[in-house]
Amino acid sequence: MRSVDRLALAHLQLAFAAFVLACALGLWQMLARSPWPAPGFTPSTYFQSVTAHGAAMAYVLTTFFIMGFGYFTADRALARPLPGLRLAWAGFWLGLLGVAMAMAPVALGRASVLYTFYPPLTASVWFYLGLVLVVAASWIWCAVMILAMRGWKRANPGQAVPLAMFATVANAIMWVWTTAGVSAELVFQVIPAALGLVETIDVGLSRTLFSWTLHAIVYFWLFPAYIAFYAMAPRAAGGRLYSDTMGRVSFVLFLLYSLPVGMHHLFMDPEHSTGFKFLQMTLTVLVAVPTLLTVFTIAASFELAGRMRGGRGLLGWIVALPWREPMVLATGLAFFMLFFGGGGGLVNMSYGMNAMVHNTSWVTAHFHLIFGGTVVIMYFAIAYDVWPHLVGRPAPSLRLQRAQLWLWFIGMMTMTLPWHYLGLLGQWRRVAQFDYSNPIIAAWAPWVLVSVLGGAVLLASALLFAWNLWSFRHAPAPARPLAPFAFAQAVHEPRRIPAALNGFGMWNALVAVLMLAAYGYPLAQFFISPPPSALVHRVDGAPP
Amino acid sequence: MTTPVPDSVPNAVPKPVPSPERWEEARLADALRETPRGAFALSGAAVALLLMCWFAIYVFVFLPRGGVG
Amino acid sequence: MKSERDILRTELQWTLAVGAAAGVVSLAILWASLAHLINPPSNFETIDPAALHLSDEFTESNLGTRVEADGEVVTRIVATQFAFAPSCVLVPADRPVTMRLTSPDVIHGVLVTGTNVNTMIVPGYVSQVRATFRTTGDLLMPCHEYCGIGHSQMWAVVQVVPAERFKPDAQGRAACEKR
Repeated sequence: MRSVDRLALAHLQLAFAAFVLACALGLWQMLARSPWPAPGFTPSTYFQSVTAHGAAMAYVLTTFFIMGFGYFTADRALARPLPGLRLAWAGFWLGLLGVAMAMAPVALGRASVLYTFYPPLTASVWFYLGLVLVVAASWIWCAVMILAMRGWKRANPGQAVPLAMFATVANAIMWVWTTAGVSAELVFQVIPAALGLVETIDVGLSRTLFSWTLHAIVYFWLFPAYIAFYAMAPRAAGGRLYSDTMGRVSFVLFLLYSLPVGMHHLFMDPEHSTGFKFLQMTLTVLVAVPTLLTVFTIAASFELAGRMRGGRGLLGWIVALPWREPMVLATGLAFFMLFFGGGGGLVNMSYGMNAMVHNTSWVTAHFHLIFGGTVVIMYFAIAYDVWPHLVGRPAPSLRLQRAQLWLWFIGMMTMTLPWHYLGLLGQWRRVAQFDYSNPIIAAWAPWVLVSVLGGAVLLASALLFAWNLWSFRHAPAPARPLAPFAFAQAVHEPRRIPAALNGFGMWNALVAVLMLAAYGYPLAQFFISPPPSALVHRVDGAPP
Repeated sequence: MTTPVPDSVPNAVPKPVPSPERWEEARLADALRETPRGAFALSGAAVALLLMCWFAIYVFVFLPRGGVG
Repeated sequence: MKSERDILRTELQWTLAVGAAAGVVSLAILWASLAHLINPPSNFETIDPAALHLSDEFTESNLGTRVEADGEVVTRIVATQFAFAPSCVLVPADRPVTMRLTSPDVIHGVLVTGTNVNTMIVPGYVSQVRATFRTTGDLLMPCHEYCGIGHSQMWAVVQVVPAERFKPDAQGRAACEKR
């Protein structure tokens, strides 16, 4: 096996191991909140589990998947040796060390602060230090991606960077911007508190810094799904990408508008005035645009494929698509879930309307559907697509792959549609258990039980996913070597391309301007007239 | 696949048996004549439905719960 | 065959449609904000969380519902790990109520089920929500933000009564009815 493939495989395996464990915890948490019993339940074990579930899904699955897929993309799309291969391996081991450092105090019950921290609650310092190492590892990945693209451009002057790599580097650059907020929060506020160097924390500031990260991080997770939509699904469907240019435009728009919108997570917060909330709401409307552009471009690419396969009429091409291909099936299911997940998100961002759903199960439903649904189902499809090329064997069973994707879709819909409804009824978030003797809460019980069943289906799907990857080991080696991996071709491959759609210099400057406008004063206010700080509350003692 | 090579593609059939690449190009050009009619219809319908759902929640759930601020 | 230009023209048409949709939603949000006065609670007001008991407003004896001299109904609540003080507040139906909340320790948050009342409670700040309750009965007011191991036990009740049953005492104070 080639070293770069081993590198990608190591990242993906770690990501999916964390994912399967986190799925099991998720189901147990749903049982705890339901009228049914959950073995081993106490409030301490519950919040310990939520912390592990959140950190494993949000920091381990995503970061390592994105890194692994990025290395694979750089290798296959650029077709030249990856610069800094040893550095990349160092990043992997650093990240793994970080995961171990962060998860050990969680396992010991000394870091039950959830993955979003909530200072002035203060956990064991190892939890935060571990996460800082994971972020540092991801920065190494960012550097390698940027270097790889730069080297390719130097070797191929005037040529268009392949779309998959252009998008990967857009994500790397966005991620560097994104992590600035949470890193500042951890390094300047939370870690000094955890070390006992300070006794108080400016909570308004820490929430604002975290909000800087909180929206763009979701787009960091989402990028691989969009790379698959543009650069993998059209080929799997037997067609071409309808427009390479629109792909570049969408990825640039994601880079621009993912960042200056984080304050929509703080609509209900008292430390910001309506003016900046309204400004960031307006920018949030704009971040819906690249997603809607993608919907059209990918629909057109699929239409092209369907018509090339003999599909007729206004919508007959849908039937003609090769739904047997896991990548095609996953894309269809992903867009179906995007409809509900995006719709829920539209409600969340609607300013005053946020008051109706903030911190209710509606929000939990929204991000499980859009991340766990749309994004993670594409992680599965990507894994199924690249695994044969990493291990050098064809998939043992496409049928089981399709079954796994369908189970994930059914489970996700069954779990999250009741959550949306419960959220509108007022079921609130982050609660270990509900008092079902209360008449208002008792009325929720049937819907809670339906969602638990959805969670069980999701766990079954996660286990089947692990089996599907594991069973590559038992697949017979192919008689002839597999055809080399190829990304999708566009109808018109870019020949001459404006520099703005082939690099990020100008866009970086624009991000800086937007961030200054959106976050300049909201952050400066904490230094111009510092508000009263809150006393640090340590929660790193072992639970009783 | 028995899709005939369309007449509108000039010199699409230079030989009695076209090469696979040319065949593919011809099918692509043929499919592109209709595309993106269906994509407009499908994504347009989805976005229209999305807006309708949003307005339903806006009018029937959100506004009745009354003013806050 | 469609040229790159033709393709981009169809993409532009779609972009215009998307822009129109985004515009319609933005106008509806603006309408709710300006015509129905539904806005995120953004009362920017600081308070020292370590000295609430020394403040005039959030001392224990001043918590709960009170009709102020100008006739405004104000409910003051302190959210602490892991209880609200008071744990039940009485409010009149169909009359504007100002809820003022703060925290002496960590981040909390509240919503009132079935209403648009929702705010974070951040130590260092006074959160304020103005609302008019239309339905009578006991509404749940849970802490909706993770505040520690006892978070799940932290909830209060908003008792909404018809105007004729809302009888403040000589100081203007009104407390929940005993049952």
